[in-house]
Amino acid sequence: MVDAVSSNTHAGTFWRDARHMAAENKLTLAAAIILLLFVIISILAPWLIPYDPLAVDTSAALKSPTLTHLFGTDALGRDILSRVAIATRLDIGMAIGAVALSFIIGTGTGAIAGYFGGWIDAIIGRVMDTIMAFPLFVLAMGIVAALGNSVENIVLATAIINLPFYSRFARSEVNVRRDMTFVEAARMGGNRSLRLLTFHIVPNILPTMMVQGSLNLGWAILNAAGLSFIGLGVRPPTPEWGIMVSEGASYIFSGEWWTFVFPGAALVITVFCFNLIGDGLRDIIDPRRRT
Amino acid sequence: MTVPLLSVKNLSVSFKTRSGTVKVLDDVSFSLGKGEVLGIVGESGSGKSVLSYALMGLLDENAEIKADAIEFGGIDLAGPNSPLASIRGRELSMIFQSPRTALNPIMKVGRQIEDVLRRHGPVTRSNARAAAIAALEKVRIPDPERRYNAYPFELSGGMCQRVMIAMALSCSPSLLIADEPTTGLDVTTQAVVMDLMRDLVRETRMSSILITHDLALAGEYCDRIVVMHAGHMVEMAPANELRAHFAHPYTKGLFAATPTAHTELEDLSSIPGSLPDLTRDLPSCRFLHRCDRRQPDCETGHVALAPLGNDHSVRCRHPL
Amino acid sequence: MTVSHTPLMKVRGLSKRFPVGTLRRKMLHAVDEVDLTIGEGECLGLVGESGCGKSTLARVLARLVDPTVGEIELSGVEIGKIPARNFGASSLRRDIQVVFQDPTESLNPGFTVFQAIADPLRRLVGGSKEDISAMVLAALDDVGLPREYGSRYPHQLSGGQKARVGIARAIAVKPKLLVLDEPTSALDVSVQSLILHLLAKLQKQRGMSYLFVSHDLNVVRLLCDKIAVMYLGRIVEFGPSKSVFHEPRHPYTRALIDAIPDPERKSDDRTKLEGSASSPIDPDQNACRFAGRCPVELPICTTAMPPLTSHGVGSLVACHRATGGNP
Repeated sequence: MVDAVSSNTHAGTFWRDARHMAAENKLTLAAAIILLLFVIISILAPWLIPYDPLAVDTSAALKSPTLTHLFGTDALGRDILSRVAIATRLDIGMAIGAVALSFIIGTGTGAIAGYFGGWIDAIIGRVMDTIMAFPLFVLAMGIVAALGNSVENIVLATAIINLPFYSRFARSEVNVRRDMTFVEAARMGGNRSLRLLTFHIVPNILPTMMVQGSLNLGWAILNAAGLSFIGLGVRPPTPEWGIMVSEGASYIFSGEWWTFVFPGAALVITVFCFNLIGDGLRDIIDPRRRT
Repeated sequence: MTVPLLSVKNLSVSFKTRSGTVKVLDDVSFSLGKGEVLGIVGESGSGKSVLSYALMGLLDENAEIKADAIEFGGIDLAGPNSPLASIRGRELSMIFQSPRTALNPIMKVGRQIEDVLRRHGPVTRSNARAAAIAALEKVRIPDPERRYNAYPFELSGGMCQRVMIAMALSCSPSLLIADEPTTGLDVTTQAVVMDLMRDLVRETRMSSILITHDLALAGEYCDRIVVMHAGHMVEMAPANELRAHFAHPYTKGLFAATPTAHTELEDLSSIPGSLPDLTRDLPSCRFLHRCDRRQPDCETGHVALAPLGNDHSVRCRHPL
Repeated sequence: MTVSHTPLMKVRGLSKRFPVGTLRRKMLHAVDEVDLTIGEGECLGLVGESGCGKSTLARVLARLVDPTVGEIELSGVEIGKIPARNFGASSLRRDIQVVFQDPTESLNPGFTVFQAIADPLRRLVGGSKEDISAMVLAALDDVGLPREYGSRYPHQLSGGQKARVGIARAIAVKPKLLVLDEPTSALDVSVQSLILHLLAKLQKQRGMSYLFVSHDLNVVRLLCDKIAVMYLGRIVEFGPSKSVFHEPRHPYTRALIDAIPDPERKSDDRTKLEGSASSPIDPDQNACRFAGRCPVELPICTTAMPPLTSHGVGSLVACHRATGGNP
């Protein structure tokens, strides 16, 4: 209608639109700041924490929050604040690792399926269908149980169950662009299929894929923490939010609330922030958003 | 002087966007008589579509609409108690570009016409089907009973547009606004659709506004033409008068750039420069920086739409 | 426009059919038995309405799509047999380039103007970074775009500027034949005028041949030496632009010309084509495709396909009435 106005974000307008969106939506801005804080904590934690997260002191076990132990202590007398802070690195790291792995493999397979079609599409589609046929968390449990309890396997399992999400999205995005004239123009310019896909089409779908990825981060953390909660994955004494909630759950009725509330809150805040940022990113990048 | 059917005085529309406030329309005033066909001609960015949407009240919340008056059949549409919502579709009707996308793709065409008829007219469930088929016949769709059951994707672009016309005319409106109704249609289909519209308009003495970028199309089908540039009306005249005695340099440029059956490539010229940035402060004459007849006094003061006689007005200090 | 008689491209018996239908048993005849010749330095206009097959024909000739049957010769070399997906690797790819219809869709939104023009140069011409850069800037100069625009993205350009980038990208590799698929349909009339002038200038400067595909007979006439009119996959009329436009022989061509809006038209009578074209799926090969819609149909039109016969110098028409039927 009014073509002096473009509602599409393209290269070059991202930061301007980001500032605009941050001004409109204070909550998203707050989420970004909190997340930034968490990332700083995850990097600097070893130097910031008051106590050694592994230091056991049974005489100080299950103390409620005081000035010496701001978050209280757990059953083994370890300082919960230090453990929660150190765990930030592990939890956020696992989430980012799983999402990155899933993103790369999922986008790659989806793009190939969407571009070439035919039997490649059929095979990749069936693989993804198989993954989706399982209740995803159960599948993750199965993978970790089969491969062994380790942080790497949690990341792998979380990545695998998320593959279909990226793959199908990438497939449809590539499908839409495959028949556009700029692709034909690239063919006129001597680009063969794989080159076309990699350098001409995929860079175009990356912004929307990244939005999907950011929305996925919160889910990935919950998945990793959930696996640890039921005892698969991270082993004690490694500090990790899921394990800490699991250990603290035994104290729900006896009243030592600080053993699970603080790690739980860390999880909730992180997931919430990831989701808000994902929404914010989508508002900036999605061309159909309202001005 | 008979009372005009539609009278617009000093209409302005601005949009608030991320890049600033875009002053899309400014000081648009015109009137439309009963049975008259008014053409609004302009290139992209001229504001012609925004004008039609503003009249129909279809702009969204970040549009700021200001007008001294928008009077339709004596009723004020611009004020706070505007009855626009109730007369829209009934007295005041519109057809759009891309007819296939303007129709509901998952509903049969006959049903869609029936819906319009039943909402606005004295048509009941029992005689709706017959009324819908009659509406299809009126727009000369062959085999209307079969087409009643068709989905939009099964019909050609021209037929979809005829369905839209059938829907728009089903309530016998007094004013039909056609926003680029034939853009995207083949030229032979365009001829058929435009002739159909002209015949129907003549039959019912309905007034209509034809919005188009095609000067020749407006010249053939319209009684009067308004030429728009960058949100301003730059010239308004009866069609023949405009073609013979255009007065605004932009109108001259448009005619010179439009190929006809008699022009050769050497005769075809273009209008220098480009549309001004509508988010900035603009001079009173928005054509200033593209005009080769520019004079020093064009930059100062307010340039208003001034009459030249013969029902011809132009917004220019030094008309041709 | 100097027209040489050396043919650049010769097309013989070209057909493109697509299997359609639920069991893929029916055939859609997009292009049917087309013969064409484009001379060196010549501009051939291909005119027809939607569904006539002109875009398909253009894509086949540009080797983006494979023909079903037929021969395509470029400078004497048979190129129809090279599969489209391998044509990109052939040294002939640079000889035929395309300017696409929608300037917005034909530019990769993530590429700058420079990158868009440089990519085909890198793939088809080669050379050092400086060579490529020089060629890109030369192309920008040729289409009248300031060199600074090289760092802009498509969304920062107007419609006319995008159209110029599309042209620059196509001519940078110095093709022999430029296929233009409705290059001005999406542009305002003033911008269209500029682009048409630019195209005429480029053709004169470089001696390229053009295949100008459009539904707008008026625009085609301005630029082209010869016009071929297509209807439902077949060429129904062919000849020098002036004679096709001012003395059309085929009733469809006449209807096309009559349909052009004319403010000076006083009377209401002109040939109006009612209805729509018949189906291109499994059409009757023993009847004229225009039968059923033709205002001057003869009985023979439903029993025999009219052949393309010549009348006058270099003019052809496929119509029973025009070639011997009673007027």
